[in-house]
Amino acid sequence: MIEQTGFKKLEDLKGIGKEMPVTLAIFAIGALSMVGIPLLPGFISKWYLALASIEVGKMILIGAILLSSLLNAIYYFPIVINGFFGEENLEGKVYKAKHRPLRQSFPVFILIVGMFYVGIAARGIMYMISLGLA
Amino acid sequence: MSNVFVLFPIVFPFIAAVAVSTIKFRNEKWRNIFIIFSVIINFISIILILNTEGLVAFHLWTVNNFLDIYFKIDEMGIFFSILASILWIFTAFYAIDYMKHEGREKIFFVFFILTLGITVGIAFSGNLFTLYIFYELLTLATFPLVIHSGSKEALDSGKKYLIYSFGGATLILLGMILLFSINSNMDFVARGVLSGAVENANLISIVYALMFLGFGVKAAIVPFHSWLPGAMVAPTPVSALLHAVAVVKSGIFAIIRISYFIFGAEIVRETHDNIYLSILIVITILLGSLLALHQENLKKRLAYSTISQLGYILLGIILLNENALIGGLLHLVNHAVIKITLFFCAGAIYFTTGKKNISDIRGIGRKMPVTMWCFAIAAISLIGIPPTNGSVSKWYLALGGLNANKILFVVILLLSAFLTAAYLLPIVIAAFFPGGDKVENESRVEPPPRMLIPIVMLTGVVVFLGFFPNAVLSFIGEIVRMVI
Repeated sequence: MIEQTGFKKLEDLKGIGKEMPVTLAIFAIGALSMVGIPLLPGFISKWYLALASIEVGKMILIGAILLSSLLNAIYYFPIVINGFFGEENLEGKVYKAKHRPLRQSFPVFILIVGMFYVGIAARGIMYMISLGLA
Repeated sequence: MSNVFVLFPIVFPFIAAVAVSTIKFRNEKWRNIFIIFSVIINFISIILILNTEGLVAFHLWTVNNFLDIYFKIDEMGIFFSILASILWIFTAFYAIDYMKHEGREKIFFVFFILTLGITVGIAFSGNLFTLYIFYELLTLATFPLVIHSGSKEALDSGKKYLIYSFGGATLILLGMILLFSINSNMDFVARGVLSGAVENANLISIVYALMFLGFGVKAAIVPFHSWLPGAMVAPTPVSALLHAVAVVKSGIFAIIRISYFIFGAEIVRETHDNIYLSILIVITILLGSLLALHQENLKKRLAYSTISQLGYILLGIILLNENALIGGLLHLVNHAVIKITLFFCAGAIYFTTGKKNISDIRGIGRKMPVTMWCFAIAAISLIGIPPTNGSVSKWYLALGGLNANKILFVVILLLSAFLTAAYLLPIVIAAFFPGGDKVENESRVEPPPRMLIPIVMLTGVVVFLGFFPNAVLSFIGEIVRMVI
């Protein structure tokens, strides 16, 4: 996004969804994973961290994990929302996404597919990790 | 493997939503036909699944006994999914004409259909984890509907909606983590799965309260109610369907699931949470009604009325006896049908005259007699004057209150019924009897038939349920006898 628009400030990136819908959609999925929406890998790691904190009897740590998830939502979502929605935000924006060469989006796509895979195939990865720990 | 068909009514709306967003329809008419067909096909598929023997449960994806996406169809799920998909059909017809003046129909219908799939997903969830996933998805899918107009006000309300919903979801997640440390089985089983593990009484009490309040955010329980009136900036079909039926009732449905299918009535009673929570619920009922009295905006008044009526249903759940739960479930149906009618009428008034405020609609009964008659009938039902459907559910709720030896609740129900009359009847009276000043324009301006027919049919359902409540009642009775 920075490369395409030359903007770095969030304020300038409002309405970016109209120009680069695919890129922002990918960003949104990444954000959802950070927040810990189930099915995406962020949820599973947080879940195990939380269970571990119960095991050691430190309930307060769960509070910290959950609070931080909520904060993740509060700081990531406005970027996505202002990017996609809002009359004022979208004014004067043109649909430019088609100018973006496929070559550049490709690695991001692969990463997203990988992220879903990690989320769904968590069992295999957890097995490998537990082998490593044993 | 034929059990995979259980997924059809959940997955099909997702596919249809993608289709609406990508296919270039020849014109709007074709798109509308496609939308109507998708919604109806989904309803038929649910009916077919219910009539097919052996289609009950399906594990989609399992990591361990918690991370397990599991669908199971039981009576409670059938009850909720049928209610939602019938009302979705009515709303689809209504929205086609209504959304013309809101614009950007394509985005609206994409998320409208998507939300149907998610709601059915909530109904068919077989364990708490699956329910939680769909519950989160529901927030995400309804958010674009809430901020549909894209105005500053809409974005602010949308933000509030997200923060409240995710806050609630965080409480639920905390509850789930703690519950998992007590009992790893979170499948929905009638009478609960916790029967063996009661030594941790304090922790269970905390977990239940956390989950109740977490799901209570969507059920608009005081003090987590203020997102609901804010979300009234959404287009009327959204308010009607999502904020009187799908979203708020998903919260209620989830509370029923945890109360009677995870914890079980016995354990909830042992925690004594029901006593503390019933105080909150009583405040919800009264505060909702009292705030509704002061609203000038018709949709906002209906929104506060929703808060109060949802309190009735929650009261029915938390009293933990047979009559109360029958009353609660019956009121879930009745309130859904009544409130969607009221909202459709309010939307029809706004659509044809552009008026949102109650003071502006004096004498509207002369211009839109059919709409306002429907509004009047629905209003009387909501107050609970016999022989309407609202009176039947309130009767059972009152009986439940008496069974629990709480005369106080009966008094509150009566008081709130009085308040309901106080905030709804003036609208009806002002509409039909505008007073001394003469009405300038007597010509009729009823909304187009695709909006009017759903209103009239829903009013018909309201009246029908009042005279013949037994059809629904016997089904609800079956559910209740299984869980209590």
